[in-house]
Formats: sequence, C-alpha cells, structure tokens
Amino acid sequence: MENSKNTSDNMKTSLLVGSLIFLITALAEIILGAIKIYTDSKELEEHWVNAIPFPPGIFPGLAVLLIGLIWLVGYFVTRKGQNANGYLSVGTVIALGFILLFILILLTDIFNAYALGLEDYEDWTILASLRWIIFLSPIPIFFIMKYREVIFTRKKKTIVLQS
Amino acid sequence: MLTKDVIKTMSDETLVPLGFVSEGKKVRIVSIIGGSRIRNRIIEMGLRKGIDVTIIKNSFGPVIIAIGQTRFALGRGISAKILTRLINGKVNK
Amino acid sequence: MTIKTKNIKDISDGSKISINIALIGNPNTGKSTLFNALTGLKQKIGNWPGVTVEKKEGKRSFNNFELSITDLPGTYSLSASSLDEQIARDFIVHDTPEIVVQIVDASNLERNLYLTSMIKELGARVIIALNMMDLLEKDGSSIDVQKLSKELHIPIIPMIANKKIGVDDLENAIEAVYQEDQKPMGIRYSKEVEETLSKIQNMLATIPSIPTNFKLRWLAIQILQNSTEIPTLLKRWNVKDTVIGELTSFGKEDYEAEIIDSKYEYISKVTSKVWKKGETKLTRSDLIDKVVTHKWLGIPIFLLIMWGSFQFVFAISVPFMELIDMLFGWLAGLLVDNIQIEWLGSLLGDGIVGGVGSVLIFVPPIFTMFFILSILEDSGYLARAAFVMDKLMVKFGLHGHSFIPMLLGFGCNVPAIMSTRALKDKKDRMITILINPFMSCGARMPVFILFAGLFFGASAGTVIFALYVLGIAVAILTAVLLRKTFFKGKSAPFIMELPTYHSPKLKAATIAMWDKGKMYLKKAGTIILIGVVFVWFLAAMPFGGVEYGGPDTWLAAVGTFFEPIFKPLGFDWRIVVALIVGFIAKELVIGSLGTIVGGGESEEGIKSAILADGGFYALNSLSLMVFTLLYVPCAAVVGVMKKETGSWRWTIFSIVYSTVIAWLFAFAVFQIGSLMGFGL
Repeated sequence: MENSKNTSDNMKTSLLVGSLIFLITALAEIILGAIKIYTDSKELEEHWVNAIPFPPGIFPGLAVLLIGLIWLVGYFVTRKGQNANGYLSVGTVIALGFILLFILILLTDIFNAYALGLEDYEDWTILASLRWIIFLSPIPIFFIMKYREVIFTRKKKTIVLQS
Repeated sequence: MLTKDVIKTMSDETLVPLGFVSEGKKVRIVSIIGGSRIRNRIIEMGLRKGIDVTIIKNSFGPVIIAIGQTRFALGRGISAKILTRLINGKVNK
Repeated sequence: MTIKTKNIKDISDGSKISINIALIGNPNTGKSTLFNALTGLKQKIGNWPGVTVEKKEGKRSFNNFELSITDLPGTYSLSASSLDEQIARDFIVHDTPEIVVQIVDASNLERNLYLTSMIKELGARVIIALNMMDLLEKDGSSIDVQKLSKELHIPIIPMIANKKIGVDDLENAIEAVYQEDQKPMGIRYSKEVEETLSKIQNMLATIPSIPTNFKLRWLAIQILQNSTEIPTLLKRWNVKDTVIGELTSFGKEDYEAEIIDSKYEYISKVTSKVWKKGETKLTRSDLIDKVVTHKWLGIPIFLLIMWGSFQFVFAISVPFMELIDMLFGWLAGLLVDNIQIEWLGSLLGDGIVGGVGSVLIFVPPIFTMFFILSILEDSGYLARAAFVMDKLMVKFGLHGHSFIPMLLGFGCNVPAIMSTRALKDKKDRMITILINPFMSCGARMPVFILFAGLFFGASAGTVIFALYVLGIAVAILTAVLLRKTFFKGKSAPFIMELPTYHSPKLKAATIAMWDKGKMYLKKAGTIILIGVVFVWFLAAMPFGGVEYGGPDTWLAAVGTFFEPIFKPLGFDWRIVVALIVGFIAKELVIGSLGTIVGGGESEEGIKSAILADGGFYALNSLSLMVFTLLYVPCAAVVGVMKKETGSWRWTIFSIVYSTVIAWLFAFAVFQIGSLMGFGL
C-alpha cells in the first residue's frame, strides 16, 4: 500500500524465491520422512534412507511446507497489487520460531545425552537432531534484515506474532 | 442471498446487513435487530447506531470490523442482524 | 454510597494511611500491565467469595500512603450480565473502595467512558488512567485531556502503562482525590424516566433496611430496567412483597435501551468537544490477521503453532523431569535403606517421598504448558485461534469463544473451567464447562507417556496423539448431545474484541506461569500428599506380616471388591485401585501403581516392574489409557465444577456421565481388540 514500487518488486521476488526453496525442501523432507517411518516399522536398518545424516521428519517437513505456502500466497497477493506485508511477516516469524525451537531441542538433546546420560540416547548423535529447517535459516534471517521495517514496527514498539 | 452485484445496484439509502458489506468499505450502523438483551450487550461493547465501521475482513468465518483502532470479530449470525448504510468512501465529517 | 474521607492532618503518629483502590477497565486496555507496574511483585492471588474466579491484590507505598489495589475483571459494563461484571460491580458496592481507578484506552474513548458512567452511578470516586496515549498520534487523533477532565469532573492521568510513564502523576491524583468529594456525571435521562426514577427513589428512601452503601439512584435505575436480581436483593432486606411488587411494576424492558442510549448520548456530546477522531487505517495487526485467519492457511497455522507448543513443552521439561526423577529415586532409596524402623522407612520412602516425587515430576511440563499458553494469550494469538475455530464450533452448537477454555484444558481443567466465566450465555457456558474434562489435561499425560512408551514403542507418539483426538471428539459429541437435549436453543452471538498483536513479555508470562503453577504445587503438597499416605496406609495394612502392596492388604480388598465391574475392560484389582485413587487426582494413578507393582521410587523403577509383572500388556494398557482419558479428572475439577455451575445436579451428572463414557469406550477397545486377537 504505502510501499514504493521498487520495494514491492523486491518483496515479490523475495517471496517467490523463499517460498520455492521452502516448498521444494519440504516436499523432499516429507517424502523421505515417510519412507523412513516405513523402513523403521519394517526394521530395515540397511535402507539407504537411513544413510541421510540429517534424518527427515514428516511433521518438521509440514512446518517447512506451511511457511513456504504462506509466502507463496503472499506472492500471489503482491501480483494482485495488494499489500503482502502480513504474509512476509507471519511466514518469517513462524520460520524463526521453529528454527529457535529446533535449536532448543538440539540443546536439550545434547544435555540429555551427555550430561544426564539417558538410556534413550545411546545411539543418538548430534546430527540426528539437526532438523532441515535449521539449514534454511539464512532465508528468514535475510528477510528480517531486509524487511525489518515491515516485520517490526518502526519505533520497535510492537513486534508481531510469535509461535 | 444478497450478492455483491446486487449490492452494487442498490442506492446509497439501501440498508445492508454488516455481513454483506465487502472488505475495505466503510458503513454506518443504522439499526440492530434481534432480542433486546443481546442488542443491549452489543451496544455496550460500542457497536451502536450512528457509529462508523470499516470492514477489515469478510471472506471466511467471522467478519472482522474496525471501529477506530478497535477490532471486533463478529459471527455470521450477528453480522446479519446489524443493518448498515454505505458511506461513500470519503468519511469523517 | 458514603465514603469516609479522612483528613491527613488527623494522622500524626507517622503511621501510613491505607487506601483501598479498585482497578477496573475494558478488556485489552492494558489493565494487567498497569497492575503489574503499580504493584510489581507484591501480588497476592486469591478467589472472589463464592466463586473461583481469580482475584488479584497488590500493594504499593508512596509518601505516607499504602495502597491496597484490587484488580477487578475486565468488563465493558456493570450491568451484571456476566459473572465478571457481577463481581466487579459487587466489589464496588460492597467493599466500597475509596477510589476506583479506571484504565481507559485513549483510542476508544466513548466506549470506555460508558463504563465510567456506570461506575460513577454506583457513587464511587473515579480516577481515569488514560492509557496508550502514544498510540493516539498513529491514526491522527487527539484528546484535550484537561477539558475532558473538567467536563466529567474526574481527574484524568495520561499514561503509557507498559513504559511506566504517568505512574507518579497517578499517585498524586490518588492523594488529591482521597481528600475531596467528587461530583456526579451530568447524565440526564428523558423526562419520563427521570420522573419515574424519582418516584422509585422516594419509595426506596422510606425503606430503612437498605444499607447506606447502596446509592438510591443506582438502585432505582436497576429497578427501572427490570434487573433480574433486584427482587432477591430487596427480599434480603426484608422488604414486603407488596412493596417489591409495586417497585418492580415500574420496570420496563425498553427502559434499559433508553438508559444506555442516554448515557452514550451524553458521552458523545462531551467527547465531541475534546476528541478528534482518527482515520481507521489498515494496521500491521490487520495485515497479520488476513494471514492467520486466512481461508486455507488459518487452520493449518493454528495446528502448526499448537504442534510447536507441544514440542516446546516436551523439549524443556524432559531434562528437568529426569533430574527430579533421579533425585527422588535416590532420596526414597536412602530413606528405605537407612531407617531402622521398617514401617517408618517404608512410609517415608515408598509412601511420601516416592508418592510426592511421582507428582512433582510433572511440575516441569505443567509449568511450561502454562508458560506457553500465557505467551499465546499475551501475544493476542489466542483470540485468533478462537476466530479460526468458530466455523467448526458453530457446527457443534457452540461458537469460537468456547474454544479458548477447551484449549486451556490441555494445561489444566481447573483454570479452563474458570475461564468460561467470560461467556455471556448461560447455556453456552454450561455446555462449555461440562465438556471441558474430556480435554486431556497435563496430569493425564504421565499415564499415557508411561504405558504408550512401554507397549507401543515407536508409535507411542501416535497413540498419545490419538488419545488427545479421542478426548476432543468425545467433548464435541457431548456438546452436540447436550445442545440437542438439556440446553436447547441457539448459541449466543459471537462477538469478540481482537486485541492488537504485541510481543509477549517474558516477565508477564513468568508471573502467569508461577501464579497458575503454584496451584498445582499446592495440590501436590496437600490433597495429593494425603492421598499418597492414604494409599500407603491401605497398602501396608493389616499391620504386620503382609507384603507391602501385596494381595493380602486392605488395598487389595478394595480393588478386588470392584474388580468384577472392570473385568470386561481387562483390568485386574491393581489397576482398579489405581483408578479409584486417581479420582482424587490423576497424578496418583502412576504413583499408586508404583506402590502396588513395586519399584515405586522412580519412573524407571515402575517401568521395569510393570514389564516384569505380566499383568500388563498392550491391549489392557490401551484400554487403561482410554479410561484414564475420559473419566472424572480429579476432585479439584469436581469442586470447581460445582462452584461454576452452581449446581450439584450437573456436577453429579458430569461425574456419572464421564465414568460411564469412559467405561463404554474402554470396554469397546478391550473387547474389539480381544476379538481381533490382540489380547494377552
């Protein structure tokens, strides 16, 4: 609305590129995650899917998928010439929220495994808790830096939704 | 059912239920129909005759309206009972 | 209402002058922010008399004053159409605070002043804390504060509560107002109304039994608008039935609308002189709302946030739970091994430390759950969750507002049932209360975690998820059933204010977590402790010679007595005992199983004891989980249900209904499973 044409063009590109990267990653993670669950249930430990160092998961994949979808809808909204700031903000904040959440889970896993030495963690390695979305963090971080004005209020008074 | 096309053909004097006003439009509440108990509670929340309301969102589920800086979500049922008149874009006399 | 006005000079001994202050305001005006700013951590949470609605009190000292501040529930009106309004009004009438501080949202002046007019009508002295002044310029509006103050005869203090700006001015105003009387607001009703009012007032003046703290004009207005509680009030003052009849005959339904209109008319006349209204602009919050309430994205976003919240709760609490488990296991072992008197060692070790430990272990997930729910509420998202779910809820005869208590039920059903007080329609509220116990609270989780973990291995998560879904499904079916039978009719219209999004404050969330979690700790220290000792006692009796928790104890006798009822569900006497004890609190189910099966000191111990036992297997543990999910949550929920529904009949209905439902579902699970060959 109040954006100049230049920034809205920029945002259009950002939304499209960001959403495509997230969507492709998400589809791969969900499909591989489903295969992994299948092989786990059949106890096929030799299966190639288990050779992936960072195990895929269906639910974490769905999170990536939804963030990608939010940005994609935002992209189509900009094409209609409407304000897509909300889509950019919500997608970015949810993405960051989940990245922080998975980093937190990683840290507690490290604590559980090494400090507490829990039984469940006998075969666990740090790689097993590196969720795919963590590797995608440059995108939301880039969005935050580039569109700080859009995502946070100018006077830093109100930060938007968290997850 | 009122469609958007029907609304377009109506004159400014026609009363439109709040639930049928499209997004971004500004309307003035003319009357609230329904039982007095419910009506009084709505009025106490600030939705009353003569108040100008902007429709923020009206596409799925409840309607989101703005009165000044306050936002309300109104269920479909109640937003059909609040009768309004369109104000022609320019407002705030 | 008369207020004692003390002269400061009278007090020369240097002691502090205490002033009672009530804090009131519309919802979403920053009332709790102001309350926190005024009182800091000097807060006390109690209950309002007669109802279990949370009552917050705090203290603040300045100069030689000590303020006792009571935080009243957020309301739009004092017409007592909901429990919140009734509480706020009764406090002003009966507790006669010396000053009522009303926090007013500067961007919504008219509606906020409507509440002011009602407070003034009750005869209270008011100070307006005009909050969010910083947001005014945003939409180009402005308020002439001085002029407004003069028009209303009320001191107005501009504030920005979240930055603590204006708190000093508020103190000064309190000091000034404390020493003087305040003029009433200049609202005049139509001639007809005024004449009737004075007639009623004259009649009331002749009744000596009306307490002096009731303003006659306010009473007259209540009588005029046919307020339903007036006859009971008059009866309490021993007013003769004939007089009551005469008084109430003045009432007419239309008067209420007229009185509301007149108040608003007066307010708009005043505000038109001092308030420049701004333009409605599409704000950041609106843009976010378009996404989170989006036709297709809304529900997935909600589900994702819920899933993330659960992950957060687990991630944070697992290490703490393990630590607590280790600590108590060690402590219990120490006591059992080192105390020479065997029964005492057993009581302290197995009974108290083991039992309390098995409860305290769930403090981390419950605290984290409250933390995350408070963050969701504080950020403004919870209202949007209600919005998103409205469409679905309408299908089940409820509306979006009923969804928030359901969500809170995942934490604990007690505060969840309390939160239904915001629902205005009695029937909606009853249904929402009665279905709440089926929302699986945090205390049921340990049973699921233990048994699903033991017998369902990798699909444990799915089993637990399915149990939550089953709980929601039973809740919804019950809602439909109740709507079709006992609570016929449509649900009240759905109107909800959507607060502006703002970043949740860590401090506020921590305070909320502690306040709510404290109740759980208290429960662990009292009712659960007693329950644990009771179980230990039954498990150790008759005295001497019997194996602790063995088949010859009194505990076994109780279990064996009820066993036939539960046989078709696959439960033997030990599970029956655990379930009966679980009625006190679901946390006790695991604890008492530990007592009976042995290895009761730690979770790990119980696990291996159950595996070694042979009386437990996948199918009966599934039916046990289903039963645990659906039957009465705990004694505390029964208590809160009685208080909030005000009816023993419905409370007993809920107990019987949920137990029968639990039995039926567990029966179905066990019998169908057995037929399919999943039995032992």
